[in-house]
Amino acid sequence: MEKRHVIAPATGSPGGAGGAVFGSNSAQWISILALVVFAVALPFALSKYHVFELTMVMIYAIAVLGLNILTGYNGQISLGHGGFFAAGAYTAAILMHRYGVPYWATLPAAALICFVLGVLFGLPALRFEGPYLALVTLAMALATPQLLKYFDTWTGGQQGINLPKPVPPHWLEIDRDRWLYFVALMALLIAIRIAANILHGRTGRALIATRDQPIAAVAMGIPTARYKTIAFGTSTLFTGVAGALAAIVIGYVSPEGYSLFLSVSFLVGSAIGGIATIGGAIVGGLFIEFVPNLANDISDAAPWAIYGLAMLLFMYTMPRGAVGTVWPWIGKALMRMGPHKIE
Amino acid sequence: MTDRPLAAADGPHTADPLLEIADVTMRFGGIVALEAVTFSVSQGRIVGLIGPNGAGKTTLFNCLSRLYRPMRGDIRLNGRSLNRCAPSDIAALGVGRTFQAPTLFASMSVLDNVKVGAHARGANTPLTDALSLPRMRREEHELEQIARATLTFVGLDQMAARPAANLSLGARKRVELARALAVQPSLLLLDEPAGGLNHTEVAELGALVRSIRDRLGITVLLVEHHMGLVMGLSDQVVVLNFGRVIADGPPDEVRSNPAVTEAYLGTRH
Repeated sequence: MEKRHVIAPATGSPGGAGGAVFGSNSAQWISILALVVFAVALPFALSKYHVFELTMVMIYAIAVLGLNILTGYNGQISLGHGGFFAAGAYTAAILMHRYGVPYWATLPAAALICFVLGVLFGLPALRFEGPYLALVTLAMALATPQLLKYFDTWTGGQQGINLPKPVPPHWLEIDRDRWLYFVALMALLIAIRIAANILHGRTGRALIATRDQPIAAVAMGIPTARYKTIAFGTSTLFTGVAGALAAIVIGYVSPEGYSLFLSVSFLVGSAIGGIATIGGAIVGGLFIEFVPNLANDISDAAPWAIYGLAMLLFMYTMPRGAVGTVWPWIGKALMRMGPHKIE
Repeated sequence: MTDRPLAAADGPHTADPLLEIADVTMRFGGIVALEAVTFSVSQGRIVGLIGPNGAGKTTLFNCLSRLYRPMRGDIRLNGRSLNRCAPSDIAALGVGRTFQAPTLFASMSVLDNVKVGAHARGANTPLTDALSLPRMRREEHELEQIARATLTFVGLDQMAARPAANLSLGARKRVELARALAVQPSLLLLDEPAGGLNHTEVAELGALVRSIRDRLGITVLLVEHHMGLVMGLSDQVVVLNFGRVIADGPPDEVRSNPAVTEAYLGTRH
């Protein structure tokens, strides 16, 4: 008697639906390519300061992407990602300042350390659901600046650490700001690619299944606790690398830069862009970098009222985030334009 | 009932039991949900598990998929005890199940829901996914093939790309079934698959369950309130009442068992 009962796959099965996917895929590739070309050309048309701002947008986008993996795709709310951003930043700062490690080599170190920290934090987090997890992570966000001051032999305490300025490779005749822009762009593209690979494969389905129906997920053979811990580690890896990049680009770290507000900003950016999207992270990065300054320009007296209003406006018009709301609409338009019809 | 070669003739204790449930007891506080439940399911059978509401049917299912750990007794699949297994190991051992309440992954497509069913058949880790190795893409392709073939089997191949959130109840139940089949189980647990279905859909479901047994050789344990379906499909019917097995045998025998009539209709005065 046979033990394993397999439904034989039909031969040559990818049919009409596969064709439609291919159609929208090529359109997607063309638009991605156009975006990358645009992103490469952009810094040469802008002032140094604006280049710096865009560099920060991309760094925040990586941090928000990390949060999206955890909150959007796995359903675990974190109000403490500023802490992991700080861990990445201080990893880079301490390695560069104390040990003279080149700036680029601090990125994998920050990735590794923040992955381990995330897994360690994710294990007790298994015991908390929804708003309770948010509160536990909130405690971490509150503790971060104080911890940074407390371990002052390593962190430089209140004074923080000044970092040596990265030098662009001499064969490339561009200035430091534009070089760091490209470093951040490379990091963002790699981060997006890795996130897409993870989220569109077996792991991604397991993360979403765990979020949507944890009991059914277990019955399908998904060890949900393990995947939740992996989600935490992966998420903090992304956010930690973003923190390291930020430290390198700004050239300075101090406890004040990693307050609760940073953690809240990440969550706001995530929600504004679309928590369960990859592209939403870029919209989130734009919001985090520009909206506080814009609000300040509009009203010196009450910038946070303007900030709150902007948030309200975004969430009201696009409840599933900019990308979460607009992307399905674009997708449909692309399908209609494409040479193949679905079904 | 004699036209089916696999129909049970001599009660539950025939050769080659796929599933053995021995002395399983489960209490919640002071309430006895299962009391010394003992029966076995032979390879290639469709076994109906019936009983009034609150008789312990779903509790038993939850013990089988290790969502609960029985307080006493043992559950063996192919001779191997499930009590020591983690709940997420049960699928890999060859047990697929559906749920009474809808449990589809609402934000995914129908196809992805079924792919999740094949999770235990895959070997990709977050690292191989992240690097998108050729091995990983090959496995994704295989999973896709399995999922599509399974959807074709349940008659939903046209709906693969649809979001699972907006399907009719009948289609949702079929996707649940396809997802459980993608586990490639040797034992399929169906928890009230006919609940909320209309007359035609129930008939189609009956034919589908029969072909799951006949064409795929999968053993089925079926919890169902629809008596026509259970009695028409099952080779063996086990009746639970207040957590105890009160009857176990071929449908005809169970139907005429006075203890069963009493459980359903109350004592005759």
